[in-house]
Amino acid sequence: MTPLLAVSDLRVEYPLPGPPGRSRRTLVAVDGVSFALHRGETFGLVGESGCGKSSLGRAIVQLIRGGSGGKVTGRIELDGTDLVALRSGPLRRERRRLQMVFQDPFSSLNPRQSVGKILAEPIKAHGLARGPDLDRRVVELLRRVGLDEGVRERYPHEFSGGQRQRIGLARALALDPDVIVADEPVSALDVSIQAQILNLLMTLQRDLGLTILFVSHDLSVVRHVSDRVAVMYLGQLVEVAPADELYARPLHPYTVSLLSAVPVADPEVERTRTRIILSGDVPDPSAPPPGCRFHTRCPYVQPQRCRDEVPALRSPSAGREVACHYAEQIAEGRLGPHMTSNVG
Amino acid sequence: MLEIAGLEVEFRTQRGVVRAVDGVDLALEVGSTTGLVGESGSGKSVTALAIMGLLPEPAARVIGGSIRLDGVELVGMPEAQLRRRRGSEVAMVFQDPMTSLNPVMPIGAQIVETLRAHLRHDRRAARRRAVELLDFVGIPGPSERLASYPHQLSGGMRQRVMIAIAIACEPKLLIADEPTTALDVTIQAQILELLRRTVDERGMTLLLITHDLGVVAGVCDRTNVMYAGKVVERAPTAALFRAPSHHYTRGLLQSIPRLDGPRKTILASIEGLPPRPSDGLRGCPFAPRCPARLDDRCWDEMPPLERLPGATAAHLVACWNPAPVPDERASA
Repeated sequence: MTPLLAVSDLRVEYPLPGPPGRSRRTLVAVDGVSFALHRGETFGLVGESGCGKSSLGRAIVQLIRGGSGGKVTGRIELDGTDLVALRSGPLRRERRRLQMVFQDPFSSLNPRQSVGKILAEPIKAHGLARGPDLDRRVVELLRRVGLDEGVRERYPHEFSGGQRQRIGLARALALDPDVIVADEPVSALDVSIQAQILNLLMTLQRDLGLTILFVSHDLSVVRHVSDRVAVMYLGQLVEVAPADELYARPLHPYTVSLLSAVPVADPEVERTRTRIILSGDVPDPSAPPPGCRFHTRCPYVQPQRCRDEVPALRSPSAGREVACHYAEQIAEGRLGPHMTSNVG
Repeated sequence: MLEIAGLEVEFRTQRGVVRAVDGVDLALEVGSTTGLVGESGSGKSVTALAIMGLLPEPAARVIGGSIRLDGVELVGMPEAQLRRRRGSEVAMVFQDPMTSLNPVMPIGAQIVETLRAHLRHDRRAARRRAVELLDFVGIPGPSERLASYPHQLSGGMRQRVMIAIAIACEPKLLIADEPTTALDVTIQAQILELLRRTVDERGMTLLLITHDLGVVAGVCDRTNVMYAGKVVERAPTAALFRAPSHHYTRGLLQSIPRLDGPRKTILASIEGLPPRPSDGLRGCPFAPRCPARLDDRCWDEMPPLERLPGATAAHLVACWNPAPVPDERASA
């Protein structure tokens, strides 16, 4: 089956401000990332701040395309058409099929436009509907996201965070996209509202057959909504696996550490689990460590190879990918962590 | 050691007066770790600020109740006396260390200043102690780090510095308000571990304020759940998670996806939004969203925080129709 969206060897770099006259440094936010989205799946992308997950999402929906905003190289193929190489005319048509949902919908909604206008504008601009058809379509969009048609006359500031995210979703759906990139869509919301939006996303996906790239720092949320999950560290994917398997049997030491760091809302579990506490901070992304980028914090680091040799993202078994020289040894328990603290 | 009774705090805003804390009772035993959980606007941070005497006056003020620390009443205490107590008896760690650290002063000088103000250390002793503190909170190369400015440190390191300053004068009570919310999960794990160690090794009492039930589960002996300015449920943490009884607590627990739970299921969510002051509710503030409300009583009368029938004496709930406690003997 050919994937709906195939990303290969994608690289996103930004110029860093530096002293005048000196050679400019660049920050490589995404460094050689490849993966594929299949039609109708939710693909989760997790990682900590600065790992490049948002840059990757924005590059895919064509929000980063050369110029001062950053440079994109590699391929982003939508149904076989490489968007990176497209000129602006044909790109405009393809772009409609990729829509984005942001963490803070307020910053992406024009505060001077009524909700009705926010939703109608893009539909008109793309010539998808007009007149009574357009009205019907706007009402239909609002109903889909659980809002009353009466909100058309109201403005974004009149809504709560959860309702704004519903409006953000409605706008993303306005152009009938194939792929939605949702970047931390529930991170700014209170827990009780978060569940409402996650439920809505899952329902929309099922009803409309959407393909979703779900970008988040929250491993529990990503696990809940995703079919497959990719873990990102310092601009690179370190592991890709079906959600069940990734969480039941993580292969990369970074995934293992991340999962063990997530607090679980159950005191019994918290008291008895083994926690791996990573030492230190994430290294500066503009000067990543050589070899395996995780080696400076890895509890399983081996003296030579990890520092000298970049581990490729390889497939140790069907459906799984991992970028670690020692994944098998670690999984089989032949290699133990140097630092684990057994809490409790 | 800390006893709060009937605390009421009001905020005057452009839209009128808001009762941010509405009759909170809280008692902390020496050496305990207590969690205060709630969503935005529940009054958990305002409670902490009231304990610290740091409410943004005149917009906010305590209009009723008492806060006693080791028997001494803090409400109405003159600012000069409060200031002496802050740091030496009770100290606070905030979500964003950048707002409480001085950006133009090296971190060493900030710790030394705290020590000299409260403990009258001479300069050399204060410096030596600052190095010890930075070492304790896990800052590598502490003596070299004294000269660093806050912006030269990562978020996690800044939070460590905040903790070092907070514990510098060995306060009896440490209040941590969302101390890990702004941090990545691997750094959060480091800071929580540090907080646990600080409380254990230094015999401090901890009041941890957070929206994250997972954080409470891992750190606190006792947990209070706040909603709309009130404590609606209080219990030993294990009992609270095993048998949540208030329908808000239950809703919260069911609405968070768990790492070991089912996937792709529709999550139980709490419909609607927290009440606004303009709603003019007389009864239980959760009634409009509650799946188990009783027709008249819940709308008309605020339920008191009382012992939950069938549970341990320490499990309290403010609900006219609480979820029953599962029979432990039957399930055992």
